[in-house]
Amino acid sequence: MKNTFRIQVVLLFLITASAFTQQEKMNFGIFSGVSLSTNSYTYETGSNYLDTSYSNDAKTGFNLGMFAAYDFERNFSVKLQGQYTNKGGITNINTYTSTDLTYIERSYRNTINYIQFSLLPQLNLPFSKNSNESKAYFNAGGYLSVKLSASEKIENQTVYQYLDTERDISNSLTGTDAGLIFAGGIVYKGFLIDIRYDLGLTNIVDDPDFNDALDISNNSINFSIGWTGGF
Amino acid sequence: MAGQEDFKMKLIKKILLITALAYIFAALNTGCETPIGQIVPYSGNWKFTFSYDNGSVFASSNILIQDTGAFCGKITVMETGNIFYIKGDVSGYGEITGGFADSCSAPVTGKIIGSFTELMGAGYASGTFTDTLQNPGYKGTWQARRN
Repeated sequence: MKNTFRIQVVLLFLITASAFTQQEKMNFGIFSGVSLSTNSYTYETGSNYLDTSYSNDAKTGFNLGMFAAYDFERNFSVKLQGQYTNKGGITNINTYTSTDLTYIERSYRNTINYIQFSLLPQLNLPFSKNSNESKAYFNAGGYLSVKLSASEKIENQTVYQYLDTERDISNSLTGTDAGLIFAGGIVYKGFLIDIRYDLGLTNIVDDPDFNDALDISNNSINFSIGWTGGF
Repeated sequence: MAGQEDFKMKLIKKILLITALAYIFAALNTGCETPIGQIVPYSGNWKFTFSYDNGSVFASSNILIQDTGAFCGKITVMETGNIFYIKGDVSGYGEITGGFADSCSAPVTGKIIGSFTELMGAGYASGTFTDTLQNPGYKGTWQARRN
């Protein structure tokens, strides 16, 4: 009976110590920032003779998220990140003037809202030998995004006139997106600055009319600030 | 001194007058533009490809859809070299109706139906065509992409 009690006490101690140690190796953070998103855009028109010109621009977006990182070694961690982000891009199409055809520039600004999860191995470069509190870091990993909504604003501009319309394009896009993330940042006394590049690897178009001809993937550069100094 | 002030005032008045006239001219003059609300979203150049029911290409053509949605373009039948015209209208909602004709001013025969759609700037249209009065073999499907 006594032995059983001792074993229970030792086990409880070991579990508590282990939990305490893991807690020290674990850190949490929140971040928010802006992003510049573009669409990698391939449209097979089926002809080399084009009377219409295509170009792509970046659009600004917003992201907000949190992460948990576990330090396996002093210089190596793994970060699990979840965030709300909006991606998308702008496609400009110019239709040249002709008989009974007004010159018009159509600008298609699409905004796709995602919840994004990423798993990021992290290389840590601490600023001091004794503490891991302030450091530079680099990440490379993958992400999986789940689409929340998608819309497209179409701006029509002639020489003298302007008209815009907006529509839902959720049903024409895939429900998920996946890709790679390359990031780097600095943590200084709990504050962090992070720069991240999201490289989409999947075609987000899911519309039978366009599946053969249109290939669009998400790319974005994200600038974030955050806090990881404890809560 | 007073003469200099008068000169400045006259200059300012002239600049204001020219600016106002330029603004009024720009505001009133929309050139030969169609009112933007009347321009169909699918106006511009499109490449049409017509195929027989068995999938082989019947004809292809680059066709200009006008501001109002009206179009008329020449097509050449691949096998025979016969030339005729495809003529019709595209509505603001992307529905296309039309037929075939000997010229853009001639009445249409047969029927072309289908619809246009677009996504993130990419345009696509598809439908069916038939002109069996002209030739029993003239029927099939068509596709078009913004060109």
